Amino acid sequence: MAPPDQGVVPAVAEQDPPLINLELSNKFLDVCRAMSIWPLTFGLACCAIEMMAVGMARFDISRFGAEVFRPSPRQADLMIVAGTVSRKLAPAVVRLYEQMPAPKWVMALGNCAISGGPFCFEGQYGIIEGVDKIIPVDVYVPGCPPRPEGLLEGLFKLQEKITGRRWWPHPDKGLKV
Amino acid sequence: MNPEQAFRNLAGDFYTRSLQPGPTENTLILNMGPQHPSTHGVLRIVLELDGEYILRADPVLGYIHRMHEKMGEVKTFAQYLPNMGRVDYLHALAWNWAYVGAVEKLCGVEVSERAEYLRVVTSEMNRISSHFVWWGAYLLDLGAFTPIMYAFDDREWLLDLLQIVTGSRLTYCYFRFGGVSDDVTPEFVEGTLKWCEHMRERLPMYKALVTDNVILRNRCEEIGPIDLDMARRYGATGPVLRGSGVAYDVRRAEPYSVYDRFQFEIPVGTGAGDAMDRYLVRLAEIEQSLNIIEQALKTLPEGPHMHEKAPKRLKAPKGETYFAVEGARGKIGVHLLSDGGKNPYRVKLRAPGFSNLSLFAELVRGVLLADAVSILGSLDMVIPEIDR
Amino acid sequence: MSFTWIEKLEAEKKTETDYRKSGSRWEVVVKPEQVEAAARAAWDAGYFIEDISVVDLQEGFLVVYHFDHWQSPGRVTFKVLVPHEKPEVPTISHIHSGANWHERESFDFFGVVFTGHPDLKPLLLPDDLGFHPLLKKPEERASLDAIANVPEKPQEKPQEASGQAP
Repeated sequence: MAPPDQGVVPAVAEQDPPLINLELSNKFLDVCRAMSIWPLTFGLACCAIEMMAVGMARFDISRFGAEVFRPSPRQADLMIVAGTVSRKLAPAVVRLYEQMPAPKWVMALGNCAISGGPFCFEGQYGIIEGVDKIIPVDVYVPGCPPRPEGLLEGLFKLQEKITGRRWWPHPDKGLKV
Repeated sequence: MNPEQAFRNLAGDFYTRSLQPGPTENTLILNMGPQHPSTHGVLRIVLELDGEYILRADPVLGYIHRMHEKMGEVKTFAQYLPNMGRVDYLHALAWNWAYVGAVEKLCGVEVSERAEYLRVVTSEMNRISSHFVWWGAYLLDLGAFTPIMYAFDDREWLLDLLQIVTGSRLTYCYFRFGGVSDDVTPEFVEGTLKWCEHMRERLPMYKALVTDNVILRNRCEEIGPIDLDMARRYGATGPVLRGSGVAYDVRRAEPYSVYDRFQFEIPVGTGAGDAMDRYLVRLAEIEQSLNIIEQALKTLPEGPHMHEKAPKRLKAPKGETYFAVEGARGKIGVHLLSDGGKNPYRVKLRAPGFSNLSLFAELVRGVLLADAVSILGSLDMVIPEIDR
Repeated sequence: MSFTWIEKLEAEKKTETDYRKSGSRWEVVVKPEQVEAAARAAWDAGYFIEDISVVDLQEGFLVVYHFDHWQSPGRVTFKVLVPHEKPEVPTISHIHSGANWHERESFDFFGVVFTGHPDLKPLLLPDDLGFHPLLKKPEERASLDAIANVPEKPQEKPQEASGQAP
């Protein structure tokens, strides 16, 4: 996590280990989890529209198992922070992150969630420059807003982080996985 | 968490406490938002409920306040252009236009004729894409999961066309002082005309699938009627006002650019100004925008896409000006003051959603919570525009 | 388009401005105690509140009200100058309900107090921010003449009908 922002208490970031902690069962369950990630609908600003577009027919995140956007954090395991986190909203973000049950991941979608984006200027008083100052982030997807394909690549990177390998063809390498 | 912090959380925060005074014997204080499934943005409404009926509603804003007016004073005139795409990202080109128009008015910069037509075409296409998102998201709020798929599918074709000419899908920054940043290719013109034909065939399908649907009718008719007195008191504009029967459209009332050369109607609601009227007005506006786009593309004049005398470095004189355009949500205004320096002295952004949302508190008194969701969707808000 | 209601108003200064350059047909400078009467006259004449904004100048805060009309469009601007030490203006939210939120926003950004407002709590800013962000430092403020020199309507042109394209 980046150095915390003054005035906002960062989230409790430790996740307890699973009850049954065998390597084989972990590997198996990790693949199951990665192939059916349930995102939390946390669209804040412009990037939310690209997140909606990714759920729609053209880019279709449902091919990769993640179309079940849950409104409640207690039923989600991926928080896609899509948009600028303002100082007024920061305690709510922290609370939502803490309400998600482990194992949970966070994707910072767009420049605002990564580092404040176009709204950083000297004397800025209203935004958190990067959501990783308050919650731990697993994948960063740059862009303003990133294309929906970017979000999908971020999802693949997250699946790679969870399972250890990439499951889908790389755009530059043809159909070879 | 220490006990003091836990107790403070139970007592609610500043906004919940400020709703407390009043008879709250058998009522429930409920927070709707700032994270809630409808995709209008980060809006929080503190509700006082008696069962399912709303007694009081108090919208709390500021959760996506991104300091646009402060940035107007810190950035130069040209550096501020990308901000305008992000105020209301669904109709970004209208905000682009409002700011660029205000600067051009203040500095006396002329716009080339071809650029005026291109501005009209791209802005109307953006209006249609904004109405698609509104339509899909509104129906999603009401529980219909299919129409949003159709809306976004048609929108993707439209975004591909706009990407050819502007380079972006969502937060456009296409307009410059004196014209537009890039000229259009014949591929764009042909593609857009073909898309307009395709859309005209699709709109009857939208009507048959959704508008005539009995569930939608029950959820929209007689919900949230806005009478003329309320609309005028709050300064409502756009489809919210036109749904109540007033044909007020900035493109006709304060004509700007070349809109006076095109034939288009201003659709108005014929009923009590309820959610169904606003719904029908927006769908009719999509059709009128298609008319404008076709007329503009067929009569597109030759010429440069930037005026020859457009300044390379903008020197703003001292003074103030106001410029208004018609956005998808209503009347967008930019009040610009300059003291002759590199940066604007003050940029005041008049967001239509701000005035439209301010009537929500009075409108939902005594209404069922589910109907309040329908009213909120019918007002078509983008919260970053309200919070600026 | 008749502006006789403006001619009947009590105000410090009334100028018919050049609509093409400034976007406003009339600019009326009023004293704080005349604001409410002016807003009521605007309501009776069929106007709606467009926005309220504040400009931080050397002489004080310039509170700018914009009103517009549905049937005969033509913006009318009211301006009130209040000193920095005592920035108080009477509220108009009991006449134009939309002004409620505009006034709260102006208070948020500048600290201008609208006396008689039912609920002047922060609208856009966090309630614990502690300062008014759009205030300028004293050395950065410009003077009133430098900024708000709205060009007057040129006298040699004949009276234009409303709806003229700017």
